[in-house]
Amino acid sequence: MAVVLAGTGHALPDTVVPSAVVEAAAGKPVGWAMKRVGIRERRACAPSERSWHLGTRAARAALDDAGLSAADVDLLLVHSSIPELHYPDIAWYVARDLGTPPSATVMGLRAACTGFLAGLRTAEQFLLGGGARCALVVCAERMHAPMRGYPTAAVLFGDGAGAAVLRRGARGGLRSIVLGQRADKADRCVGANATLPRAGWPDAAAELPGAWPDGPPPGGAVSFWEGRDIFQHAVLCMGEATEQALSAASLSTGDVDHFLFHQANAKILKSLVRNFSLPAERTRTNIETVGNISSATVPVLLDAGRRSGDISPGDVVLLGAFGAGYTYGAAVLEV
Amino acid sequence: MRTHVTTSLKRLFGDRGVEIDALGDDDDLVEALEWDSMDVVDLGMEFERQHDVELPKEAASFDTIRKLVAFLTAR
Repeated sequence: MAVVLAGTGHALPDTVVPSAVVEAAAGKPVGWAMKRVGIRERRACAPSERSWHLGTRAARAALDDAGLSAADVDLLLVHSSIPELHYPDIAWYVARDLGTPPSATVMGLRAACTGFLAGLRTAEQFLLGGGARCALVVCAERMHAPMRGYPTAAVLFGDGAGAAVLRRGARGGLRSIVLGQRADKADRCVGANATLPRAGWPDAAAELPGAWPDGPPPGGAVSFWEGRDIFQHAVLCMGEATEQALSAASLSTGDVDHFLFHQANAKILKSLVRNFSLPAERTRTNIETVGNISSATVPVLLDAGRRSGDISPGDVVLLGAFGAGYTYGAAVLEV
Repeated sequence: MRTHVTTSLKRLFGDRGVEIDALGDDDDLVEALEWDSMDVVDLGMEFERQHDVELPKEAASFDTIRKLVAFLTAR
């Protein structure tokens, strides 16, 4: 028994935000984002557009791709790193707008930029355990607008959604999946919305001098990153998870047709490729045109690759991600 | 040892499109190469991997070829 990929989809907002616009707001020179992090432009939601709107569009595309409808879904897993709602989770808005049947299990997930891998892992367990026959994993991110309070962060983040339909099959599909965490580093990359008090975090901030690149946070919100530590761990954790996932699938890098990694920064990806001797020509990227779209990065890459024909049926794909927490993981998927 | 370190650094910089001989020993690397701190971290990580050593945190603040060579040669 295997868990196989039945369909994929993605959705991006129509509005393109060129780097020059956000560079000016951040006080950076024109060309800074492309040179420093490899981002030429990103997509941003319209003021009335929400993460679940993108998620629903991506989900419909994935179901269409699979030749299925919402009525076939008995497990809906929706991930969003910074959802607009505290409750209910946006998963229920995706379920409502998609029209999933009342008998479907619906859950929201939170695993930062590794959200798609967490979704795959959870779906796998449901499918193999008999708790579901058709799982729909959706990653919906509206990151750009919430980051405008932090101009440098707004340069990095964009909006988008990706989705995948998974079912039980005879062979192929998900060959291995590895998830890990370095929770001892949880205070190295922190963000909160403006409604939460800072209790507990000023101490962490004091341990990170210089970690407030845009000055004091507005409205009581907290957001800081220890960039060097994140860079190092992103490279090492994704690299090691890649090796573990390949080993678990009894494969080597030579057996992989495409490497799809979460992309927070083009330099992280280059360093990962260099340090772990991965083939750059088989590593797909989208950061130049969409920026960092957190958990949606990997499923958007996967779907775009399949729709363009670059990723063909039978291809072996390595998916990898790293995010705040720290959380990391990798999976080997036969498409 | 110094020659070994210099040769290694030449290769590491060369992989990044930088001709190390064009840099003065005391040139500020970040300024001269228009690098940022992530480029320095990346360089350090690859050096650690190639030589199976662990650089201390302060290595990330090495801002000239002279300081880098002196530190690595001493090790």
